[in-house]
Amino acid sequence: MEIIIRWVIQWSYKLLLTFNATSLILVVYFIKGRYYFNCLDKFPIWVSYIACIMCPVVTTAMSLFLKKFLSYDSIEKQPLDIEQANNSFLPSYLGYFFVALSVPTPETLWFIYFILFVFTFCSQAIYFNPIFLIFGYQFYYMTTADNVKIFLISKKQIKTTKALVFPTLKRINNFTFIDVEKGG
Amino acid sequence: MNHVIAKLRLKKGSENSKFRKVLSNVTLYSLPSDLNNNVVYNPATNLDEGEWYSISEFSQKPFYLQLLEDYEDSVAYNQLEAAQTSNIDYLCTCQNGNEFYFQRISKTQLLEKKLITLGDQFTYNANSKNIVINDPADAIYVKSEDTLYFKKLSAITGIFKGIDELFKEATTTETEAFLAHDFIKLENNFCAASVKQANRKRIALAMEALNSFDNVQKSTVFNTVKEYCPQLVAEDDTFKIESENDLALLLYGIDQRFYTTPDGREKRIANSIIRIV
Repeated sequence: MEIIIRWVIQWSYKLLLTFNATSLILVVYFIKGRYYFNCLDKFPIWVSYIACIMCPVVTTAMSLFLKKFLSYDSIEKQPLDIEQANNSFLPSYLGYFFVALSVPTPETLWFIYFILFVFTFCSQAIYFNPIFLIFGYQFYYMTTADNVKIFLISKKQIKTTKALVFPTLKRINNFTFIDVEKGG
Repeated sequence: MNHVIAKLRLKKGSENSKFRKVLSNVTLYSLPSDLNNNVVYNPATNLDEGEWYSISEFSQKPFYLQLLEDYEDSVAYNQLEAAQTSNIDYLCTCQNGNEFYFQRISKTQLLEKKLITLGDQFTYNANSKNIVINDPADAIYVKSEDTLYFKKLSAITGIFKGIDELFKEATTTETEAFLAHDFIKLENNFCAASVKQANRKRIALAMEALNSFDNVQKSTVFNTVKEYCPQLVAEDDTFKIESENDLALLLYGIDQRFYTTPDGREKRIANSIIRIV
């Protein structure tokens, strides 16, 4: 029973992360189609747009809060190599936006979103979520001392591997880790 | 940060791919304060309470673990999945980046039982899976000293493949070969099948000793046995072996474990020895 509960929690967490990473496509589509929230119809339409944009921001904040339930890890040996990855997701994001802007009907959007969702869920890019940048996180590709390539999300501004250690990390999946060190 | 790594029993994959991370940021074991009371491992030495066997320069040994060599960071290992828990072979816990604690996980240590957990809340768990942690661990490797400490070799032969070469136990064929020597006369239906583990271990040691003796040494050793255990001597000047106990005495004799106290008052058998270098 406990195993099933843990399994459900892990899957819902992964689903939440996937939603965060892909939801901007929906936001762009809704803005393009001049959709608005019924409850906000008394306000100008840009209030609805802002509310729409805030949705993925709020769910991302939620997922960041939930990271405290993840398991700990650490990197105590100086890594071989580190490379900033903030910009590498821009092409894929531009791709998302162009798709959203050129999709003609809502049905097409839901289908395309479904396919995208499945692929993002299955790939290791779940946490490739630009909203993290708003929360002050940076993305890094890192090669550890024993030559393992991982994806790291950290608040640190890293330029060199000299004396670089991460004493408290949290494991998002086997390739993705988030740095939770205080004051980092 | 401390990490608990599990080695899985898997048929497929390289040795390196069988390690999984179980837990981090916990302290399962503490470094025993009596590690200084250690004797270099030798099958002829028995441990006293609070003593440890040690193997120094462990990284030079053929049964050294690649994991100890490669271990850098826990991020290299995939997370253990719940379905894999029954496949755990052993746990390796790295503490303070220097101490590695090993514990074999047998089926009995993996509790799959109905449990009531007592604590702030009493909870009932119908099919819980738990691992019982033995402190002290089965083996402790201290990297800065390059030394492995353990209490029982048989507990760690599954972890360090090939370490059992240090501890030889005669096989049935070897036992038969030993009992077929012309200085032994079997009586009372005593045969190789009646020889139990303790004596098989001694046979392995005795065979080694016998092979290294020349004829003079052999006769000296046999004469000592005859002197200390006259009841073993048969009419044709061989040793008659009727029981495990007789065999044990003969084997102690071959390993030259009989001695008399310096004052000449008491005859003794040394059931454990440490060589004085």
